[in-house]
Order: sequence, then C-alpha cells, then structure tokens
Amino acid sequence: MTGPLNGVKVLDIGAYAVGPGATAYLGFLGADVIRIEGPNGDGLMDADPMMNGMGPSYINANLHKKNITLNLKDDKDLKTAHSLARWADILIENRLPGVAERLGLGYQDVATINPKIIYISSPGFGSAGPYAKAPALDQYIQILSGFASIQGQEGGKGELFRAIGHLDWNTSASIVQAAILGLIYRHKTNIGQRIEVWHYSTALFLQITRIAEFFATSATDLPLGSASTIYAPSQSFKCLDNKYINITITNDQEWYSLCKALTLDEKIIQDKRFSSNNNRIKNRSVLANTIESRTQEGPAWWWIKHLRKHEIVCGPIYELQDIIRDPHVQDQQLIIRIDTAWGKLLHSSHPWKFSETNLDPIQGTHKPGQDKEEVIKIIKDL
Amino acid sequence: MPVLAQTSVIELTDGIAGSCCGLQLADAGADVIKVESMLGDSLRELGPKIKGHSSLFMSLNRDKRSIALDYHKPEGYKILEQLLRQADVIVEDLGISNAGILGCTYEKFRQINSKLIHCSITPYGTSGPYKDLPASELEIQGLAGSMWFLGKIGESPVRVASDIASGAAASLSFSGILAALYWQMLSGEGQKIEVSLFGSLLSLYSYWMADFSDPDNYSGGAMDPYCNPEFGYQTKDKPILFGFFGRREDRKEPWQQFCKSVGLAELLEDPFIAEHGAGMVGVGQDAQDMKPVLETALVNWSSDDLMKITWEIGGAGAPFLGYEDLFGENLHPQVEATEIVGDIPHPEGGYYRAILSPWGNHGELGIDTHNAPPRLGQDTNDILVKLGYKESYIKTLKENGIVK
Repeated sequence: MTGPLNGVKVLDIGAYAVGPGATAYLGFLGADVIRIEGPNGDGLMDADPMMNGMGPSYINANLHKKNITLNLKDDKDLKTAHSLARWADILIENRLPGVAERLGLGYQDVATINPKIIYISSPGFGSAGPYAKAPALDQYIQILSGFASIQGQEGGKGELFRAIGHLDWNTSASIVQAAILGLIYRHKTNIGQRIEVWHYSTALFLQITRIAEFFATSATDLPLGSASTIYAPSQSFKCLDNKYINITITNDQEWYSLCKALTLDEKIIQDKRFSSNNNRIKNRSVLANTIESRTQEGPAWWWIKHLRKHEIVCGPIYELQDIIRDPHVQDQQLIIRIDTAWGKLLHSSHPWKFSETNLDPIQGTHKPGQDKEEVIKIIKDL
Repeated sequence: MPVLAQTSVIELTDGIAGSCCGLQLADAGADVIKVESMLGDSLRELGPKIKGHSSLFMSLNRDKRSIALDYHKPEGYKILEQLLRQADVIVEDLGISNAGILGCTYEKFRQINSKLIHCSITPYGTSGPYKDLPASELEIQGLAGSMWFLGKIGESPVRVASDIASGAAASLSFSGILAALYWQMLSGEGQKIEVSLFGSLLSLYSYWMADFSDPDNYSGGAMDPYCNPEFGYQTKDKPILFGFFGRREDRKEPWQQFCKSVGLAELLEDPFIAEHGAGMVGVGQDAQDMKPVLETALVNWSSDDLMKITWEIGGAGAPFLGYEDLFGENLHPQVEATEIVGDIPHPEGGYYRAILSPWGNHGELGIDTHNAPPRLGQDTNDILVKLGYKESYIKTLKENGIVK
C-alpha cells in the first residue's frame, strides 16, 4: 500500500453514497478501509440500472475496501464490530441522528473502547433545525439548500440537477477533509474527537460565490440559462450544426481578441455597451445575439478549433460518449474501467497526482462479506 | 487551538478555485499569505460590491493576509523565495508553462525548502493535449458533462449555477494538501500535488459514469440525462419532491399509506401501481409520467402538511426553496441551524455575511474568530519587515514597482 495515508485505518459503517464515498476516497489516498455491511445490505444495491445483480452506485461507492457482513443486533457480531472500532483510527457513519447509537456504535460506545478514535458523523440535514431528523437524499438537499433554485432557463423556474449525487459526493469530499484534519489534530495532541459534517452545510458551502452575490444585493437574476453572473460573455452559443459551444471572456483584452476572431465589425469593438465586463453584463442579451449571429455561420467543431487558435477560452458541450472519445481524456487516461465482481465499472482516474506518495490503482469492489476471514484475522492479531 | 495553527501557507492564485482552497486552510487555522500581482486578484473587480469591496473576493479571502509583489522581477521573485523558505504549503494556479517561465516549479521550490508541499491547480492538468488550454468554470462544466443533465433537448443549454468545477478542485486540492501535510509530519518530506478542475469534476462524476458501465443495460433510472427538467410536484404552495427509502420491498407499505393519506387510495386498485408505485415517485422518467396523476391530489395540500404526512410514514422529501426563502433578512431555520453563516468584519468597518467551512463549527478543528479580507498589499510592510527587510529598502522596492 502506498499513498500519503498509508497505514491509516478506516472503519466504514455508512450507508448509500455519502459515508461510503468518503471512505473510498480515503482508500484511494492509501488508507486501509474495512466496511461493515448490514445483513440486509445497502439501499444502493438495487438502484437501477442493475449490473449483473448489483446497483452500479453501490459498486462505485465501495471501491478499494474490504467488506465484512455483520448483524449488529447479534451480540457476537457486535463484539466483532467493537473490535474493529478499536482497530480503527477513523470511523465514518452517515445514518440518521440516533441510529449509530441504537446499533451500539455511537460515539460514546466507540470512545469508551478507543478514546483516540476520530469519529465522523454526517447526518443529512444536520443534527439540529426543523429537518434534523429527516432522511436526506441528494435531491432533497438540492431543493432545500437553494442549489436547484438558481439554475434553469433564463426567466424560468429553478430546476433539479439530474445527475443526482453531486451533492452526495461533494459531502464525501468534505468528510475526507474533516477526517484528515482530525488525524493531524490527533498527531499533534494525542486527542481523538467526534466531528459532524452535515450534507446540508456542504451544499451551502458549494454555493459560496452565488450566496455571496445574494448577500451583497439581496436579490438574484438567476436562473440565467448557461450564462455566468461574473463575466459576459460566458455562456453557450448556437452554431450552424445546431450544436452549442461555450465561450468565456474575462477581460477587455480577451473581448477584442474575440471580436477579431469572429471578424466582428469595428463598430461593435467600439460599442460602449460592450466596453467593459460590467457593461457587457448589463447588455448581456444584445451581446449574446451579436455573437450568436456569427457563430451560427459555422459548425461547432470548426469554431472551437478557430477560437482556440486565437487563445479564446471556449469548449464543447459533451455527453459521456464525447468525454470518453476526447483526445485529452484518452491521452491522459482520465476515464478507466475497473474490474469488479459484477463486470467492468466505468470510472474516472485519481483526481490527485502526488510526486512522492504515488497512489495505487483503484481496487475493484469486494462482494458483501467477502473478507470475513481476513478481517477476523486482523482483529485476532490486535 | 485550531488544527493548522502552526502551518504557513503561500497562496499564489487568482480567481475562485485556489482562493477557495486557501480559504479552507485559513478556516483550519493556517496562516495564509495571499501573494497578489501588483494589480491584485482579478476577483477584486468582479461581482456586486459591498461598501466598495467585491462580495466575491471577500467571500473567498477573509482570514488571509495580502502581499502585492511583482514576482516577474528578480527582487520580487527573491521575496517569494524567502516566503517559501518558511512555508509549509504553496498553492498556485499559474499554469504549467507560466510556472516554468517564472521559475515556480517544484524542482526549484524543493531546493529552497525540501519540506514544502507544492499544490498546483490547473484547468486540465500539466500534461496531455490540453495542458496549456485556458478554461473557466463554464468550459469545464461543458467538457465534464454537467450540462448534459440540465435543460431540455432542443432548447438552449443550462449550466450548474454554482461554481462546481472550481468547488471540486478547491475541495480535492485541500484534501490532497491535508494528506500531504500528514505524510510530511511522519516523514519530514514535502512533495508536489497536482489537481485539475477537469479531473476533479470527473472524479466526483464517477457516480453517474458507473450507471453507463454497460451501455446495453442502460435504462434511464433516477439520473436520466434525457429526461425533461424536474421542477417538483405542484402543491397548494411550494413544489416538493418526496419518496420512500430502503430496499425495494421496504418501500411498498409507506407508498400505499401515503396514497391513502393524501386521497389517492383509488390508485392502489391497480395492482401494478400498488406493488411498484414507490418506484414511480421522485425523479426520473417513470416519476414524470406518473406526476400529473399524483398532482390531482397533492395540489389540495400545503407543502408543510405533505412533509408531515411523508415523514410520519417513514418517507422523506423537501420543498423547493429559493434564495429569498433561505438567505433573506431572517435566515431559514435550517440554514440557521448549520451555523455556517458568519458575520465577518468588513475592511471598511462593520460586518458582512459570509459562508464558513462546513466542518468548522462541529468539532475542535477550526478558527472561531474571523479577520476582514485584506486590502491589496495590506500586509506587505509587516511581512517584509519580518523577513528582515529595512524600511528604507522597502521604500525603494515600492518606488521601483516591485511591491505595493
């Protein structure tokens, strides 16, 4: 095992994506992860589209770990779980408030056995407030946090981000931070602790820039379709082949370059309405029409080649098949296929490159209970 | 004491991703010095202002210090070098070519300070066909597939309004730095970390890629890119989403109970709907097909009442809330409960509202008092004096346009 967290031991008693996602990431970073599976399995196990009898979301969230099935209502199994809690440096749970306690793996139970544990709870909406006891799925977090309210067609209603799970994985990434912060704290002070990372809070943090704009003006122009609140133009433009390209101009110099690249009239370059980013934002729709009247004269792929030659920030709008075929994605092997017991899983490669602590390739997901013997041996050797 | 109380960070970044990473390091207690160009971070001029200061800049740069210097010039670069000698971490987003020209490479940095952790944030990575290609939030979203899951086929595209590509890179660079810091504590060695906006967003997106592992087997499901936009179920007031939890067989009873409670009992006369109806609420094409039928009853109820009914039978849901509902004069009680909204000292006096790091208030990790975001070069003098520069020389540097 390599990676910067080599030697760190993580116990996963989570469910669905948020907790398991965090322990998978910790595994990628080199930690040794053991997941306790309940006797009834996990809610993601039968989430469509099933892959040879297993939900792909489950396979994805549980890569790179060992798996043991335990019935925590059984005394002997609970004892095994407690031994694992003694083994672990970090424990991660994301059940509803009170559930881990009921299972006999609450912070007090675990801290009695292992006072130095870093115990991370991720209660969906939080452990306080009117939604404290409500189960949280990504889509509910999206709509109760305002995330969904600010995107959609200009002048229309806010719509859900249909790639449901973004806020789940965003929370997983925050849990990873909290876990390592806890490790560093313990390394310095020899003290463990319980840390809460709320799904709802991480969704608010992800909106930090949009919320800052709202706090400044007490109003919002959103949704704005593809357009940015910060720059103009920064939006999608229709091309001859009915495909769209994204173009972003962040300053006046880039604006002149774009005018030249689009061979726009000198009149437009001199037009006061477009003379600064602020003016371009104010006149966004007339600006967009001006640009689009040109982009509609050529196909999307041609414009991207042409504009990139002029060092204009631009790009296509991809579906998965386009991503997989993209020359950079292929050259850098950004999309990989991981062997698992249920077939090859489509996945992205590690988001980090470390110069001294190389990360191991991602290991395929183990079957529920697959590592029972090995895990029991680990406990015995404690 | 906050976790990173003795950690010193140099932030050589412009815009959102790098500053957001630095912000979280600052929230964990690190001493973050923002090294700005003589013109300052471009974000200082962008977005709506509060008392003359950019709300965007302020949201991402509180609790940091600022030194403005021209590191293109040898005297300026020397100051950067001296700062790095004492630093634990540098976060930069100069881009691979630019960093090479400026001498901001890990090879160089390592000679200055072998314990240094050098995190480089780029749009697409430091090798491959796009290594020198510039990009902003929108282009990364377009390339990583985000826009595929919004809007409607045949209409103009829609982006995710939050800065999720920058957010992903900030989050993963922060966790990468923390992991490297932990390793540095054990080994005494620094290292280079590379994170890209594109790679970060793709990394989070493994969850939906998983669903396409076997395209022959793809059947839509909850995350359907080809579905119509989802606006929720109409009620008497705000639209809602709701559903039932657990394995398939666990969801049947609450679904039937729900139908009876809201006045849709006759639906259950259809044995297929009685058996599989729980899978036809919420999100996805099946749910959208079934929606008009459910709405005939749901419009008679308020969203609050529907939440109560749903929770009582073990289901879950939420209403669609907007920014006015959440962040108006009175914060929504659930936002309030997170304690994530802080009142931060404004550079011109008084306070402004900002979002704090999500793990800060629920453990012994973060800082609990906050400092105003710095003016450009606000700490140049202090920092140079601490480095041993004489006031007279600092004056010369200022006159020569090396520092501000």
